[in-house]
Amino acid sequence: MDIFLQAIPLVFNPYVMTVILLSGLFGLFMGAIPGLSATMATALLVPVTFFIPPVPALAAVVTATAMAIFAGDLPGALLRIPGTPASAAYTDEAYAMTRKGHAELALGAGLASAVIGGLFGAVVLTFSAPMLAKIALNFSSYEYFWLALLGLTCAAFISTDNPVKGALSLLIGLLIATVGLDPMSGQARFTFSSVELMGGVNFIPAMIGMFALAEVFRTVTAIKPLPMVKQRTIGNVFSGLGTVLYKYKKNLLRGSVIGTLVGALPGAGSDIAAWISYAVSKKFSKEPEKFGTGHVEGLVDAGSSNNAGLGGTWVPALVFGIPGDSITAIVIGVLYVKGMNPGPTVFLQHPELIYAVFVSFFVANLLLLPLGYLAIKSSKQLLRVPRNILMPIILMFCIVGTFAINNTVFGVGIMLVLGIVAYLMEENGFPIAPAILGLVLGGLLEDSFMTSMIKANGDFLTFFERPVSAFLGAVTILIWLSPLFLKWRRRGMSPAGDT
Amino acid sequence: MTSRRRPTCAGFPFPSDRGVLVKVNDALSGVLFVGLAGLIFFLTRSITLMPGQDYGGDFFPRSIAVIMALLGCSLIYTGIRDREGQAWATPLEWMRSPKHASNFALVVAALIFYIWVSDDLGFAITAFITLFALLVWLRGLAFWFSSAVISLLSMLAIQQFFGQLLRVPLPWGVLQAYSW
Repeated sequence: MDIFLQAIPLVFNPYVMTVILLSGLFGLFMGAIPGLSATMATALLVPVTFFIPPVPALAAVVTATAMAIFAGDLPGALLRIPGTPASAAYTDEAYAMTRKGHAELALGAGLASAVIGGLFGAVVLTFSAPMLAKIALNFSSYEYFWLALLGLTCAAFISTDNPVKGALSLLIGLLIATVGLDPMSGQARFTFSSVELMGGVNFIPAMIGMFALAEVFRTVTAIKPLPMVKQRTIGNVFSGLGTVLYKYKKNLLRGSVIGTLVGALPGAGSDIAAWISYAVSKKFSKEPEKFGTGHVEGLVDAGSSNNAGLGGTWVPALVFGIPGDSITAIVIGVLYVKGMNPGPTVFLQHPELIYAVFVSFFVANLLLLPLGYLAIKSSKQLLRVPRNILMPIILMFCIVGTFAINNTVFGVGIMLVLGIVAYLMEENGFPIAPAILGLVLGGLLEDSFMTSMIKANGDFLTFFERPVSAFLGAVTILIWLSPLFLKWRRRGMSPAGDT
Repeated sequence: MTSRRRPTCAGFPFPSDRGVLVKVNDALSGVLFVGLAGLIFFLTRSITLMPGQDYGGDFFPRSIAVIMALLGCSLIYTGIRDREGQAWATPLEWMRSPKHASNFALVVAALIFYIWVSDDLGFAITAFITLFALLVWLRGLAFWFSSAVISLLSMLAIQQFFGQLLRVPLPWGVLQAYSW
């Protein structure tokens, strides 16, 4: 508790609060524009965070993502286009409400449930992360190897319906992580005699390329133009909201719990949390027939779930250095840059900074209420911002952001190459998030694997000798085998063997 | 080829529709990955073992290559199995629209232009030209004046924010004498 009190002034000072406010406005803007996601907002923020102290840097990321996830609801409700993937689960429902003349309730319920879910995620993060960190202090390289592998496995299996493509995307990320000097012997790998590549592929240009530049490509090649907002004015979003929130209080709690748990699962982020919560809401609803016709119940579940998921994703990221989703993969990179190497030791070395992150979660989610209200009121103007003006400016931000990391245009080249690769991958059904996770975790995986192999004299069975390590290894292998098991089970259920 | 049904995630509808817009048959992607795996083996052939060690710097990339080749073979199998008379490669929808294809090419060209000339011309001039060219192309020549104003203001804002506030040493190039 003392550390928590020490952390409060680190956040509540004019400099950090200004950064939080500005990043909040930035996040709302990015989330509200279809195609610009919370991940892209984080990617574009990273070069800026590079130059500011750790607390405002991390608070900026926390605030921008919380705002962006909510703001994704605006084009969802008004245009039937989710602003971010996290809003996709209930876009049809929210739009159906707008068509019935209930846009205010859809947006108000989205805002209130986002705030409640976000605060719930923050509470869970604040209490669970330090406790888990104490346990994680006993981990050796074997446990870290399995944890990294488990995180990557989940990323490959959960982020797509095609685990083979997810795994290949992951391998691309791991391969990129091997570029540079080999950590054991110092020999150059895949550097093609380039001095710049000796230091490896910096994750910031890679990430800006894969998330921001790929999105610029997608936008400038989009055939269909954005529809116009039909809603004339947006009235009082708080009217009748109290009744709805009271009626669906269990949904709020359930959505928040599911969101936090799914978020904490490595590889699954807020978007998957929202889909699962919406489906659970419909399954257990007393009025499932109303879902899809403009019914607010699913919105309450999924709206709280996606913001709660944000807090959840930070748990494995801070405690084990295993990112919960692509946003926390970026956060891990920021933590390394700031000298706060994620893992249990960060709770011993920089406890006040970690608790300042927790405090900023609370501040960001409370600030979401007034800023979110402002965004709802100005949503018509926000959605009118022409993307053909926005994209060249974003491109220039990408260029300067990548340049700023090493002050060379080499990073811009990396961004260009990986931006094209990511664009083509996604167009062909290969998810991008596993590649980023592979890039971030590749070093940890190789280091822990090689250290463990040297310690064990090449005996792979040693990886299963410690109880936690054996458990994590067994879970990882079971996940690998799960597609075969599911296939065999389906065959067993269908005489014809078809699915 | 990937099936056209709506993808699912843990039994729930998957959040993105992008995965179903297949452009290259999976078998071709698989061949690409098997080829990449072979290339990894080729490029790691010169990495030597440290004395007394059983595993060297080639072990991890080669492990990646082996898994990549196996998964690539799996894609080749499913790609051929599910092809059902469809083309091996289908051009992306926008590739058939000269305007949209040019948009894509122009973004790539803008980045190459920036990489090539920014050190000599400096950030201010290169950024202005890049922004102006993109804006005029995307919005139309009729909006050249407002595009020029937006380019100038954006360039100045980025220069001030990154160059002055964050102290990023953006190159001045030919404008070195006028730097602030």
